[in-house]
Amino acid sequence: MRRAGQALLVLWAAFTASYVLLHLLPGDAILIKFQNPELGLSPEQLARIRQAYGSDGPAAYLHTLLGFLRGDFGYSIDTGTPVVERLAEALPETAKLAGLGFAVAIVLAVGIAFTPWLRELPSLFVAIPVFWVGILLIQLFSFRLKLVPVIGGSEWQQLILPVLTLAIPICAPIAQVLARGIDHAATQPFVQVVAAKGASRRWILWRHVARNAMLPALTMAGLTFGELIAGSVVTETVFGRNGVGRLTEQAVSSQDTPVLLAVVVLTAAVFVLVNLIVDLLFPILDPRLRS
Amino acid sequence: MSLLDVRDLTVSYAEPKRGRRSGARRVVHGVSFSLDQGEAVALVGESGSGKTTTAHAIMGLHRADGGQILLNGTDIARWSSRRMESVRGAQIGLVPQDPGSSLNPVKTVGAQIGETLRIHRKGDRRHVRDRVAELLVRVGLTEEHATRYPHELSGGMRQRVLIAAAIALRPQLIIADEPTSALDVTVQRRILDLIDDLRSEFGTALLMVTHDLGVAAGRADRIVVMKEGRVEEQGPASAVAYARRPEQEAFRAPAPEAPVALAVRELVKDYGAFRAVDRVSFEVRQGTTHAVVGESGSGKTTTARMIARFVAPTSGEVEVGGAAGGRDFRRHVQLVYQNPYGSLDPRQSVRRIVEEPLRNFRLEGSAAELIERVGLPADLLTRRPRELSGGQRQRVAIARALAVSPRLLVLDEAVSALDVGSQEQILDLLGRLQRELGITYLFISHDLKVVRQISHTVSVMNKGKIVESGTTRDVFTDPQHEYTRELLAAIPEPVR
Repeated sequence: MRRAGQALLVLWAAFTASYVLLHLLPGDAILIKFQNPELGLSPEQLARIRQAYGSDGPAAYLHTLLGFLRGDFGYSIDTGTPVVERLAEALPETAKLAGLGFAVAIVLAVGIAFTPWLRELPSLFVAIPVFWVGILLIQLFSFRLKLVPVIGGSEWQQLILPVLTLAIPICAPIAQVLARGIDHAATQPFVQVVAAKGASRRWILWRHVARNAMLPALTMAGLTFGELIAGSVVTETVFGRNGVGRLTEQAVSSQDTPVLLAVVVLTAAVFVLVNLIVDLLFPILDPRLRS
Repeated sequence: MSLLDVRDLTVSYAEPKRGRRSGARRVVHGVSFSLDQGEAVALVGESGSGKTTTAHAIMGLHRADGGQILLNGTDIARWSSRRMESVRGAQIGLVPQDPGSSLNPVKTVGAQIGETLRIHRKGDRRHVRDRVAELLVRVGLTEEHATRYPHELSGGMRQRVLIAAAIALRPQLIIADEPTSALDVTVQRRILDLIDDLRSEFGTALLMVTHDLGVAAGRADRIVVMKEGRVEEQGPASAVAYARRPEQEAFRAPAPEAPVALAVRELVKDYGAFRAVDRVSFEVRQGTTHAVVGESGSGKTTTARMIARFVAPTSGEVEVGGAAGGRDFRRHVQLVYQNPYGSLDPRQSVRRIVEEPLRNFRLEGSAAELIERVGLPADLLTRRPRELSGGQRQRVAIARALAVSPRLLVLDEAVSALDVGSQEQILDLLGRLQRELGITYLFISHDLKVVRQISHTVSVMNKGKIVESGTTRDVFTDPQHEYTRELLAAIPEPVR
C-alpha cells in the first residue's frame, strides 16, 4: 500500500518536472506552427491563439494535471487530434517491440551468464550504443547476408532486427549481474552440502545456484526497463517504425508539449509499475524478505 | 575388511595465479588411516593441517592426486566426480561445518532434507514427504518444521536439519566436519549426543573432523592427529588425548588494587517489548580483564555495544575513567570484533588501515611501530587483508585499536573465529600488551576455556541478566548458579 502511494508520488513528480522543463524551453509549438511569415499573424493574434490552447500560467498547470487524472491528455498541437488517439495508434507497435526486445534480452542474458566462455569476455555489449547496433545489424543481415529484407517483408521479418537491436544493449547489464550472482551463489557453503548429497552439477546449477542468482538480476532487469523505453525511441527512428518512440521524436522536433508530456508520464507509469512488480516479486522468491 | 581405508593419500590445491607464479600446493602428504564398520574416528588438527581437505577428498569433493581411498575394498580415489555422485549421500553422508550458511536460504527445510532422497530417486513424492517427517522427528524437530525456511530456525535446529539430510539414506559412514564449532556449548553437547544416538541406532561409522581435542576424546573411539598435512599420531582416543592434554592453566592472579576504569550501572536495553539486557552492573579495575560470558542471545554483545556507545541504552549508565563524551570517547574506548576480515577494508593496505585512527585524531605515531608491537613483520604493511591469515588479520585489528592509545579495549569474541594455535598467540599478545601498557580489557566470549585463561574477573550472563559474577577462580571452581554449572559441565574436556 505504501509502495503504491510512493509510486503515485513519483508519477506526479515526473509530470511536474517535465511540465516545468517543457515550459521553460525557449520557443514553443505555437510559435513553430503559427509564426510562419506566410500566415502573417500579429503578436496579439498569436497571444490569443496561445490562450485558446490554454498553455500558460499556474492555472494551465492545474488544468493539465486534472486532465491527466481524468485520462484526458489534451490535443496535439501538431496535428490537432487528441493525444490519446495518437498514443493509441503508436502504443501497440511499441509494446510489441519492447515486449519482444525485453524477452529476447532475458534469453540472451541467461545464455551469456550460463555459457562459460561468453562470460569470460569482459562486459560484453555493455558499451554499445543502440543506433550503432541497429545500423550494424542492417548492414550484416540485410545488405550482406540478405537474410532479412529492410523494406517490405512480413510483419515478423520486420520485427527481427529492431528487436535484436533493442535487446542486445539491454541484455548486457542483466547478464553481468546474473553472472556475478551465479559466481557468488556457487561459492556458498550450501552448494558443497548439496554436492555431498550426490547432486549432479546440473542439479546444483538449476535448483540451487540459479534461484539465488536470480534475485539481483531481477532488480537489474526492472531498472533496464527505462533503457528499454529510451532504446525504442532510437530503434524506431533507425528502422522507421511507427511507435511511441517515433511519436516522441516527432513531438520533440515540433515541440509538441501535450504529446511529450503524455509520453513522459506514460513512460514513468510503465517504469514505476514494472519496478513495483519487481518489488512485490522479491518476497515470493526470497523467503527471508517475508515478514 | 575395513569400511574405509585411506592409504598414502596426497591432495593438492591449484594455486591461484599471482604474478607469473602458478602451480599446485600440496596440502595433504601421504595420509593413511582406516575406519571400521560402526567405528568413530576423530581427525584432529589446527586449521591448515589438512584435516578438512582429507575429509573432502574421501567424498570426492576434492580430487586426490595420489594414494588410495578404499570404501568397502573398492578404490574410489580416482573416480570421476560424476561417478562419485552415487556414493555421496547414499554411502557417505556429510554434516557440514557452519549451519548458518550450509542450507539454501530460499528453499524449505523439508525440501532440503528430501533432496537426498530425490537425487537418488528413492520413492515417489508421497514417500519422500513421509520420510522427511520421520527424519525431522528423529533428529528432535517436529513435522511442522518441514515447511519452514532456514532463517526461521536457530543454529542448533539448522544443524539438526543438516544431520537429517545426511542420514536420510542411512549411509554406512557419516563425515562430520567441525559439526558443532559454530554452536554454543550447551547446544554443542546436545548435537553431539544426537549424533551418538543415531550411530548406535543404525550402526553408522563416523569420521569427525575437529580442532577440539576435548570433543574428539569424548566422542571418538580413535583419534588421528594431523599436522601440516601429515598424520602426526594415531591411536585409541583416551591414550592420544591423555598424552596431549593441555597443561592446566593457572588462573590469573586476583586483580591488583587499582582505580576503577569501567563502571556499568543498571544498564538496560529494550527492543520493543523484548528486554535484551536487564539491569546489568559491574566494575572493572584498571589494567585488568573482565570477561562477560554467555551463549548467543544472552545479551552480552548488546552490553558490549552499549559500553562502546554504538547502541544507546534504554536506561542506566556507563562510566569510563577519564573519558569525556562525544568524539573524544573513541580515543579512550576501542572495539575489536570477532570477524577481523569483515572489520578491515579489503581495498586498503595494512598501513592505511592502521594509520586511519591516527589521521582521524591528528595523532603522531607510525604504522610500522604499531605493527611491530603486535608482533607482525614490517613487510606486511603493503599487503591487503585478503593476503593475511586469520590470526594476522586479528593482529592488524588490534594494532588499529591501539593506535589511539585507548584506556579500554572491548574485545567482542575477538579470538572465537581463530584456530587453537592462533588463539593462543593472540591471547599471549593481549596479556603482554596489558602488562606493558596497562590497558583494561572487557572480554566478551562464549568460550569458557579462553575466558579462564585471560580474565581476572568474570560475569556470567543468561537471558539478559548477570546470574553470577566474581573472580575467575571462584566462578570456575565453585559455581553458585545452576546455569553456570550447566555451562561448565558442557565444556568438552580431553581428560576429566
